[in-house]
Amino acid sequence: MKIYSLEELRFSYDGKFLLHIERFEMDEKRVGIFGPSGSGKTTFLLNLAFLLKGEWKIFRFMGEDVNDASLERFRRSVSYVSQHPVLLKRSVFENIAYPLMLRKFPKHEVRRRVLEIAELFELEKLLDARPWQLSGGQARRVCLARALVFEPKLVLLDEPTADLDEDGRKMLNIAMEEFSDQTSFVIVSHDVDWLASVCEKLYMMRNGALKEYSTKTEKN
Amino acid sequence: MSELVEVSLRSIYVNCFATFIAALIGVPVALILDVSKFRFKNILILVFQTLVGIPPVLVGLLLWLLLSRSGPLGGLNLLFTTTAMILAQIVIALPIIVTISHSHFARVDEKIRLLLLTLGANKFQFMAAVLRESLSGVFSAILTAFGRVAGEVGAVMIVGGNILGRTRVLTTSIVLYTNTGQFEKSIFAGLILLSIAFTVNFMANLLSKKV
Repeated sequence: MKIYSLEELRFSYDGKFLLHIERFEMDEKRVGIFGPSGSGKTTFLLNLAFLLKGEWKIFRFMGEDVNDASLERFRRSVSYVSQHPVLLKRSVFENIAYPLMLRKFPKHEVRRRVLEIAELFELEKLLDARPWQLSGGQARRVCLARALVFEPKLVLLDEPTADLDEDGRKMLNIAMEEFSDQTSFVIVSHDVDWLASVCEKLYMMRNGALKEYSTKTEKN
Repeated sequence: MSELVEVSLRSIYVNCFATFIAALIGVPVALILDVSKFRFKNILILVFQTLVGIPPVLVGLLLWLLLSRSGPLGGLNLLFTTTAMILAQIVIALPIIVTISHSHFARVDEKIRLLLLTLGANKFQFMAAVLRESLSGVFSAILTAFGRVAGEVGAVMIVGGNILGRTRVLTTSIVLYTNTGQFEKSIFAGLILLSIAFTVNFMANLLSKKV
């Protein structure tokens, strides 16, 4: 089943077209998008996360039509990680546990999952820390852990490697592997080499339009 | 001395109870104003902002007209009771709590709001998270309202009547002692009022650090 199937998606703000996607279908586990700054990558991700609502001819998620009635339900099955780490004013543990609490997971299960993913992202010693005590890279890892902890069907990552060092990238690669059975990824990044190494398909975005990109022929 | 103890206890009861009820109504109202979109929302916010500066004497007068024998609520026999004083203080405290809380809720970053949506918060969970993100601001709103009602004299004097043993509180005592030349008692009552305000602020600060 295709994760996304959309045709003629348009999104405008203040009367100016920011996005015009003729066709986008996703049945791969990992899709990467790159392109110049301001080309509409984040706007596209926010549309895919059902956080912005454009106009479309066809927009299906997991085979179901996207409409006002299904929007909130679909929103709960995807997870969007923004370009800049955003944390709630609570401890790292509470931040990671938050999506599980929203979904009313039992306490012991919350604890088990948080500890498990904290280990994956090497956050075990920071579980009591508050957001302002974290470095950029640590905050990024908390955001990634929180996005994955409830095993969403899809995770949308906006520049996930921006604050990560080499170890952080390795952790992200491992996490994507570990969650690959149940979770698919759409990743926006400027780092085309890294994208090509982790994604099955790449797209290039320019002026709000999306074009499939072959790493073999068009790279460089 | 026993008179001052009794008056102090009544002051604490009236001020705390009025602030508590005003917070119980005001904080959810501010939250709803923050997350909802409806036609006259900005006008409603403006009304609350205007009411922040309402003279307590005017509140007292309006409430007196409502509760007096010939008024629409005269049958409730509430005039010159602590209940009337609490009602007056709720009317004074409510706009303060709504306005200050709402301004703190409005400051919750758009990125946080997007985050809450993408993590799957429903409307109620969304409001709870916005509240938690602004908790220190809500505390300051409640403390400001408490400060205003604790120092208020006009409204409680009108609807309470400053009756010894029934409706006399610290502020109305200060007025009475001053008018009758008992300045020592007046200053002493003022000091008690200040120490109540200090204690409440101190406890609220401790609490806000814990949450």
